[in-house]
Amino acid sequence: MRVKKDRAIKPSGRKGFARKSSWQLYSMCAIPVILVFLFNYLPMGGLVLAFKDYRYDKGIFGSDWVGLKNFKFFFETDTFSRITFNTLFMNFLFIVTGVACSVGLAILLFELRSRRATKVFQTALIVPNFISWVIAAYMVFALLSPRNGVLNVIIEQLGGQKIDWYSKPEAWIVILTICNLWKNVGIDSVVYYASLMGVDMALFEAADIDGATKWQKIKYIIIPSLGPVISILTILKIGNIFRADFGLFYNVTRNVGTLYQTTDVIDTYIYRTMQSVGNMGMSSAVGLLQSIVGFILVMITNYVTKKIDPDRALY
Amino acid sequence: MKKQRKALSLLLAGAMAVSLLAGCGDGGNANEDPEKENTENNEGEDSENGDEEPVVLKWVFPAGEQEDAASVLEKVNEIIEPKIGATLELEFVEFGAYADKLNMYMSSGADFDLCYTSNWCNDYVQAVAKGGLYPLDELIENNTTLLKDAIPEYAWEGTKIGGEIYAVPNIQIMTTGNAYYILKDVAEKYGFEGETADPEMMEAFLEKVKAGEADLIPYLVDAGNFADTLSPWLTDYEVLDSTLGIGVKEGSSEDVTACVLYETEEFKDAIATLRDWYQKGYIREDVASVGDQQADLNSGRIAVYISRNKPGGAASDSAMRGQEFIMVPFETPLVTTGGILSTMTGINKNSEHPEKAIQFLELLFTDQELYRLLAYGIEGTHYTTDENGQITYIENSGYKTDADWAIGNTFMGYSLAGQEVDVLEQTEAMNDSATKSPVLGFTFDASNIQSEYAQIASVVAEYNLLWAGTLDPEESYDEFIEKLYSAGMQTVVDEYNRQIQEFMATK
Repeated sequence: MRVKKDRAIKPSGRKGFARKSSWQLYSMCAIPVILVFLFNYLPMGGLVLAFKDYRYDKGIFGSDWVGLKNFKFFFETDTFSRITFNTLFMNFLFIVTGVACSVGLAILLFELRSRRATKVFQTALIVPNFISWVIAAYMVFALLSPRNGVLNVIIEQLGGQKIDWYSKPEAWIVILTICNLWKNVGIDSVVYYASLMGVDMALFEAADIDGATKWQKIKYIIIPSLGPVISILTILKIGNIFRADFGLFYNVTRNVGTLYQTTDVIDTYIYRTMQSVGNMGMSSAVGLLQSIVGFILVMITNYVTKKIDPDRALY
Repeated sequence: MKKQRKALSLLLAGAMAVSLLAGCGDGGNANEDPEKENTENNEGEDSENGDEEPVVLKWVFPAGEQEDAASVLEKVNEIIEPKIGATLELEFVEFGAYADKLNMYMSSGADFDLCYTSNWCNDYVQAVAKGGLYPLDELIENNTTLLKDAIPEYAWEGTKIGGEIYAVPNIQIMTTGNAYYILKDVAEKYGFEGETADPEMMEAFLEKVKAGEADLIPYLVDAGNFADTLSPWLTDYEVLDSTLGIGVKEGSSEDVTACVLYETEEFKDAIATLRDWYQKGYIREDVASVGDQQADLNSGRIAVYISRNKPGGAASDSAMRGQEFIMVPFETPLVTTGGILSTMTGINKNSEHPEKAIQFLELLFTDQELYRLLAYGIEGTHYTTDENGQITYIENSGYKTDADWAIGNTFMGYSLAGQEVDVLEQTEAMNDSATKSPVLGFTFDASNIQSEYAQIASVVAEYNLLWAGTLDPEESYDEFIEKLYSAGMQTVVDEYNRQIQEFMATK
């Protein structure tokens, strides 16, 4: 996506902003820029809530300042280390498995010679992305329900003992990873597939002439040409590593207490506690914290990437 | 070019970083409406000039959208406009969405005058603590004459926070105290007898049900509902906060101290029994993950559940669920703060016409016709009355709020055909005769222990399957208590006792 934008703007950007012939392009940008300003920059003023004891009658700017008190509760909690670990660990797992699987799928799609088959697979892979976690949660429940879940019925038919998945925290590391792949792998693989389409076919022809095997072609042509896209997408995902997919962790686990050991992440914890206390200041504080950590992580990752290979960095 | 690209990507990255923040900044900016601050200046004008344009009172009404609301409102306005110079406008918000919506309205300073508030939906104590509700003492004093006497003194007492009333309590059953509701044909088939019950009797009954009815779920538990689920065992305690598990022993009016219900012998006994029931199959095996069980209740798949002990309870629950139930009480009724706080109407702190709003509430509590209009609609169009004075709703008439209990004095309303004819009188008698809790009128101010509250709530959510039977008490109970204390339980208990002592001293 980013790549496309770059291309569109490059020609006009070359000679500076004031160039007459490019005003149409800028006016096309105006609407999204205004929207970004309205919805992304303007509400930032609300971040002062993180440092205030918010009262309805005093309003956002009239409420009393309380310094860092709103942040304290998050660090004081016993579960701080657990939810932080779960968030980072699960996201790390998602990123690694996500990249591996979607690159793999993209290669498989690329190897397909039939246009039609490619379209069919692409569509089938993307569909889960449009299914909300709430619905996905019911699909998972239909599979795993201890009462008459499909999986348990099969296990019983085969003579095994029913398994109560919802009381086995360890299992959910795997279950959630699979769910996450199911939903996201399709859309990512399409991005990789699209950038594979841009690889110079001459490279493959040359490789064929030299008698390269499939594996060699993947190793020496495909993976290197996907490198920049992989690193950019990964950097963006790392920026979100401190922020868990709420829909996944809350709905799919059905918020079952026994599973918190492995499935309680920062977002679900905050949601749960704020539901009982309803304190806006505290929730803003945690939101701000997550953003700052995300921002720092993006900067670090980008810096490291740049040191290793400047071409692959985001900026 | 390089520079340009760099600037662009920086902007892009910036935009993305910012979009992450967007979520927490919501609910802002609408608040700076300067008009809102001017209520004081307007006050005098409104009440003096009677023949001016009537003001519009907006009530966020706790019911689903009503198609025929316009015709009801027309009649309502015919009554109220000549009397108080105001007309009513309703915005319908169903209960499922009410708390969230009101939270949003209050935090964004939305324009409305009246709203539902309670201890379970649109939390009263929190709304007051955050300055969402209008303090009423002076308003009532200056603008009304009949309202004060239209509501029993103990009900007013229950709504006080720091000595001040912030909402008008609706009048319905005010007592807490629970009962088993048992499917009638199952109860008859397996010979459940007795006017009252206890867990031991229940166990014997459940054993028979389990043996005889393979398709039924014998006993409902809801881990998310501590107070009801544990009520058969905690009959000697009044639950003050069902998340924190704080309660006081009933009947001890002299030396009232808060205790941690999770540590009582009764609680330990309860979770051991529930664990046993779970293993014997009296509790559904998927109780941990099942979520909402209303559909199972309404289709008659659950033999026993727990609900409020109240006159006509069996009839109204049977009508609601489409299954015949009998009610077997196990707790004596007690008038508690919680019972009173369970339904009230409050005035928005930002309301431009608080004095009109309170006058409207006075009318609502004194004018039977007005109350009946809003609660049931227009006679003949939306409901019919029979010779006993009981009503039946006309199907698909376009006005059926089911909110009579949430908007005024139910004793001014009707009973439904199928209920006992004198159910309202019975209920009123139960309210008046029931013992009053020693801490009636006490509400806890949690602002000093927000952090502890949040943490304890999280621990409880993690271990609440202890009272669904899926967690083994032998393994998890000690861990649970330990975590509660490291989350700050002692601070909470001390704070409770401090506030209770302060409260008792003012009594």
